[in-house]
Amino acid sequence: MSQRAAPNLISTEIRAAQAAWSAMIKERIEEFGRQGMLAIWAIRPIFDLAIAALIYAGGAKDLVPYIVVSMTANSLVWNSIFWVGEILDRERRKGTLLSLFLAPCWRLSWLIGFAGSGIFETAAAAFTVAIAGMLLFGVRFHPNYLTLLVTLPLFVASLIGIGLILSGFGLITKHSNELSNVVFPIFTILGGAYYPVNRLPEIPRVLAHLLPLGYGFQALSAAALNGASIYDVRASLIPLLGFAIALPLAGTLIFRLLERSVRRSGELELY
Amino acid sequence: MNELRGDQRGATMSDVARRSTDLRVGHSFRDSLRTSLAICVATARSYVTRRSAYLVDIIRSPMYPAFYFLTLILTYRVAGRTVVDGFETQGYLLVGTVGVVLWQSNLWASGYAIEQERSEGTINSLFLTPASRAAVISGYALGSFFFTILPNIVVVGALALLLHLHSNIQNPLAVIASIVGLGAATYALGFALAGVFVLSRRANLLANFLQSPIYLLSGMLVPISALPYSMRLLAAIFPLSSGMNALRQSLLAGAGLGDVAGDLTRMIVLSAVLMVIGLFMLRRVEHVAKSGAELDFD
Repeated sequence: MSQRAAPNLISTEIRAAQAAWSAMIKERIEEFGRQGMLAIWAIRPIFDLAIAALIYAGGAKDLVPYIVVSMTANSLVWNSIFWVGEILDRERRKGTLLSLFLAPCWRLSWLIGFAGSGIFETAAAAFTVAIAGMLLFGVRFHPNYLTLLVTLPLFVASLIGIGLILSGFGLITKHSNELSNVVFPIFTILGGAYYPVNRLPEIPRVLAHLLPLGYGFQALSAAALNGASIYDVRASLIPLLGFAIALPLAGTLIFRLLERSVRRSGELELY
Repeated sequence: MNELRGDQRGATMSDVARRSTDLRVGHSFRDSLRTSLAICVATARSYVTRRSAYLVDIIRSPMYPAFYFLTLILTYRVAGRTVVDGFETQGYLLVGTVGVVLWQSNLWASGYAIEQERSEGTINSLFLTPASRAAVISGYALGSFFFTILPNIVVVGALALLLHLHSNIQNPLAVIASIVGLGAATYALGFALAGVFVLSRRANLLANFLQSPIYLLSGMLVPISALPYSMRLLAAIFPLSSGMNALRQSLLAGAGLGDVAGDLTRMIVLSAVLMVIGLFMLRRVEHVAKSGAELDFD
């Protein structure tokens, strides 16, 4: 009996995630489909890249390729904070949060479905930055696909964990976007999108190593630019693996705790 | 003796008429100014009250510019650059941060004003009232001055003290004129965008998009001289680049009013053009609203 129930349960949860993904993707297409908004959105990070690249153009030019890769990967960070982190608050504003919590499936299923629906705008932004790096700053990639294939999922898993934690805290603070705007500057200064974290002064460097971003950016840039093997980037990959396991677990746990607390106080749909 | 000649009578009558018209105009102008001011203050008060409702909103307001400034300080440091465009890096960036604060504040307050009304479901009521739309937008800007600009200026000032910033002010009036002019120019740009945002119905996307290009084209964070030629031409259109230059010269290089007069004049002229564009766009929004285009819908 239980042997049959488990596959059924898993298939139900997969279907829930798929349904959440397809429902949200339609909304995203509607959001970005008008007046070339996707193109406008996709070229936005080029200006951040240009600011950083112009700073390095007058000094350490050798870091321009690094920031092209880190800014490309930073599109994922942006997505985890401003998209995944704000999912619940967005649903609350639409008045559908309570229905979601009443749905007969795991919270994680629809959360993952919603999180995945940001894929198009994130991919578009990342792709545009990478192309801009090649065309505007002459950066050439020499990728090691195996290393990228291992690093990228670990990086994404860490970011999803962060997104889940933020989403839970968004239930408490009520204003997720404001919370995202508090978190993002911290991630920008300590994350290493504008510089490799190992070049930071001691105190910010120590703090930066408490986040997965710097490890991810370093491993991705080494793999994308210099064809570094998994062994070459092991110093970044091992901590990143730890984050990729710990953060989604912590995210799920914190989300559950905060959700319970908000439901107990009856504030799920209140502002 | 006292009887007036016909032409004198005519002259007096027309004089009275002119005076009464003057009085009426004067009275109506004063009234309308008073009403606009009241609307502006009420909107500002409402803006500050709403924004102060959540602790996270109060915290985040001064965070972004300060952290962005520190990020770029570290970036310049990693790049090994201690001088930017002839100025000490920290001074250059701190003045740039003042520009960032003013631009952010006006983009998300005056620029976003009508959109804010739309997203809160009050845009139709706004267009039904006889309130001046410009006064409402100015109210948002005034509210943002108290809620965003003042706390940020305190944070920027604290950073300047901590980093032992060396200023070279020869003429305080030039500094004041530059900072007020820059504030007015950012307001004008926000005002010009207010209507555009509503008509696009994707204000949040556009506002997010516009942040960094303006940093780049205004010379807030990197010198305009470092930009490619085509972008330098584009930068010349924005009044903010003149304002940034005037503020840097007067604050860091000891420039007087005469030295920055050219920049200030260019900024005033371009800002006036933006205000006219803004008024035109607001009329367009009103026209769309009144012709039943359901501006309150997404």
